Amino acid sequence: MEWKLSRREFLRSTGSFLISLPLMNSLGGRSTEANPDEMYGFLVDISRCIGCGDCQAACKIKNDLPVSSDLPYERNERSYWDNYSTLSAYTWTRIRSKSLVKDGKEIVRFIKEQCMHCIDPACASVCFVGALYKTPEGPVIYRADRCVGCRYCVYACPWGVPKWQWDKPFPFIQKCNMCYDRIIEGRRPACVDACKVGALTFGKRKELIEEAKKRISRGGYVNYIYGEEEAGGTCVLYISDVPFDELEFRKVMKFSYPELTQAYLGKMPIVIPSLFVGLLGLYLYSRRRQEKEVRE
Amino acid sequence: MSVSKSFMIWTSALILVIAFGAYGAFLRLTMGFKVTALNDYYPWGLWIAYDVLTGIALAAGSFSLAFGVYIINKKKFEPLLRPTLLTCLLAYLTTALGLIIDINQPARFWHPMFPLFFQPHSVLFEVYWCISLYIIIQLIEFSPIVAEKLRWKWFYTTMESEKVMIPLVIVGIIVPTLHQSSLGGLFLIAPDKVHPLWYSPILPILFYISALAAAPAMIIIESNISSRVLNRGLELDLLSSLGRAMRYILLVYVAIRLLDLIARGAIFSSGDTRALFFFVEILAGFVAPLILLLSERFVRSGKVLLLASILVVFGVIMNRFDVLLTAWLYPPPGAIYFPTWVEISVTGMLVALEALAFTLAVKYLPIFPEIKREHA
Repeated sequence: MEWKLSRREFLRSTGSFLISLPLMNSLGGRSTEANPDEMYGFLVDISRCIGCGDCQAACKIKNDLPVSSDLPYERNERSYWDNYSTLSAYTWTRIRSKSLVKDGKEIVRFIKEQCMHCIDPACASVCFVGALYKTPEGPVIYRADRCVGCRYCVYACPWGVPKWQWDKPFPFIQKCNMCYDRIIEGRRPACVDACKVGALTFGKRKELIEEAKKRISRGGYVNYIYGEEEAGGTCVLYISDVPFDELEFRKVMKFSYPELTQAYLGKMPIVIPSLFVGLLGLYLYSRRRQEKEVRE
Repeated sequence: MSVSKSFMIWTSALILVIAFGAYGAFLRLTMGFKVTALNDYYPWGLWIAYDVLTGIALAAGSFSLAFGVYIINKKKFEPLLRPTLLTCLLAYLTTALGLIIDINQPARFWHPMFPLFFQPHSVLFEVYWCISLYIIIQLIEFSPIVAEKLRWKWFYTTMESEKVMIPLVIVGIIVPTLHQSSLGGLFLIAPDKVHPLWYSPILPILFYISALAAAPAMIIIESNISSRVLNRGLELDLLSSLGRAMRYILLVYVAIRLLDLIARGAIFSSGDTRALFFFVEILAGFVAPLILLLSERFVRSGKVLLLASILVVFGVIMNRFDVLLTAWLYPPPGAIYFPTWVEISVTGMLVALEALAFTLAVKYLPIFPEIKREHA
C-alpha cells in the first residue's frame, strides 16, 4: 500500500493543525487576573514586635496544629528567643529572633515568618493540578483534595514556605492560608487578631503600602518596604527600623517568578507547529530525493 | 522450552534486586518519607534525579532513531530500531512506576488528567502530559512486534504502512522533543536557588541537546552489551555512523554551553566544591568524548566508540544530578543530601525491572531479527 501525500494534503494537515493552536494560547497564563491593590494582606512592623509569640499560639489553635512534634528538623539548634527553629508542616507561622548591634547597643529584633502570599505566586504557577491557588481576595490557599504530592511547590517557592508532613505515609503540604475562611467572613486572620502591640496591621494591599509609607515618613524606619517589589510583590509586607540585610531577610528577585516559565511555555505555539511542518517537509523532501535516485 | 544456566542465574539475581526494592517501596508507602533522606530542604532527591531526569534523558534513542529511519530515510539503521524502541519504552514505564512511589499521594497519579484540574501554565503539566502521551505512542509503535509474534498479519502490515507509521513517528518526535526540553524548563522557576554554573534561561535547550547526545551513546552501549551476551555480530558500520552524529551533537552542545556560561558571566562564579563537580561533568562527560570522536580513526574503532559513549552517558547522568542536587543552593550550609538505602533499593528495583523485562522480551519477541527464537 503506497501513500502519496500531495501538496494539497500537506497543506490541509498543516492547516488543521494550525486551527488547534488557539487551544494552546492558555499556556503560561497568570494564576489570577485580580487587581493586586484590592487584595488583602497584612503589614508587619518589626520595630513594634516584642516577640511574645501570641500570633504563633493563635495560629496553632485556629488551625488545630500540634504544639510540639517529633520532626527531627524542629529539634535543631535554635536561638534562645525562638520557639521553633523553622517553619514546618505543623508550624505555619513563627517568630524568628535576630541579635544585632545598633548604635553600639546590643539589641534583639523579632521577625514573624509565614507565607508571603505573592501576587503572582511561584507555587501556584508550578502546581499542575491547581492545589495551590491564588484567591482573588489575596490569600494563597491549598486545596488538599487535588494535591498529588509532586513537591514542585516546595522546590519553587522563593521563601521555602510550603512544607510537608514528612512523618506521614501519604503526606499533604501545609502552609499559612491567611485564615481564608475568616477573611471571606469579613474577619481578620487569627495572628493579626492576637497581636496586642499593633505590630500586625490587616487591610487591602494598597492601604497597607500607604500606611507603611506614612510610618516611614514619620521617621525611625529604614526607607524600604519588604514585599512591595519582592517576587513581583507580596500581600504580606514588612517595615523595619534596622536594615533588612542585617535581619537576614531572603534576597529574592524583584519580578514575578512565573514570568520565567511563561517566557518558555509561551513559545510553544510557535515551536510545535514549526516542528510539525519541518518534520513533514523533511520527510517529503527525502522521499522525493530517494524516488529520483531510484528512477535514475 | 530450554533455559540456559546463565539465564537462570541472571534472572534470579534480578528478581532478588526487585524483591529488595519492593521491600524499600513498601517501607516508603507505610512509614512515609522518614525512611528517605528527603526533607523540607531537599524535596527532590535520587528518585527524581535518576528515575525521572536521567531515565528520560537516556531514553531519547527511540525518537532519534525514528527520525533517522523514517524522516530522513536512512533505512540502514532499521536493524537498531526494535531493541532501541524496547529499551526506551521500558525506561518510560519504570519512570512512571518510580514516580508513583515518589509522589505523596500515589493513588492520585491521574489527577493531572482530570479536565477540571488542568493547569496549562505549569511546566510540570506539560511534562506529565507529554510523558503519558509518549508512553501510549511507544506502546503503539511497539505493537507490530507483538503482532508479528502472534502472526496477526493484517495488523502488522497496517501498522507498518506509511499511512499509519509516518504520522505516528512525527507526533512521536514532537512529543518527546517537548518533554525532554521541559524537564529542563522545570528549573527555570528557581533562578536564585540553582547555582549559576547550571541555571540558565536556555536550560530546556541544553537538556534537549544533551539528551540527543545520549541517544547514540546509549544505542552504542546497548549494541555492545547485546552483541556480547547474545553472541551476535556488532554492527560497527552503523555504530560509527552514530558516532559521527554524536560528534556533531556534542560539538553543538559544548559550544552552546560554553557560550551561555560566558554570556552570563557564570564561568567565574565558582569557588566551592560545586566548581569541581562542574569541571568533572563538562570535561569528562562532554569535552573528552568530543575530542575522541573528532578523530575519524577513533570513530571507526569499536572500543574507542564505546569509551566515548560511556563518557557521554556519564556526563548526562552527572549533568542531571548536578542541576537538581549539586546546584541546589536553598539548604543551609551543612545540610547535605545523601540517599538512604531505601531510596537506592527502589531505584535498583526499577533498573532491575527494566533489565528483566528486556531479557524476557529478547527471548520471546522478535527484537533482534537475526537471532533464532523459540517459535522459529
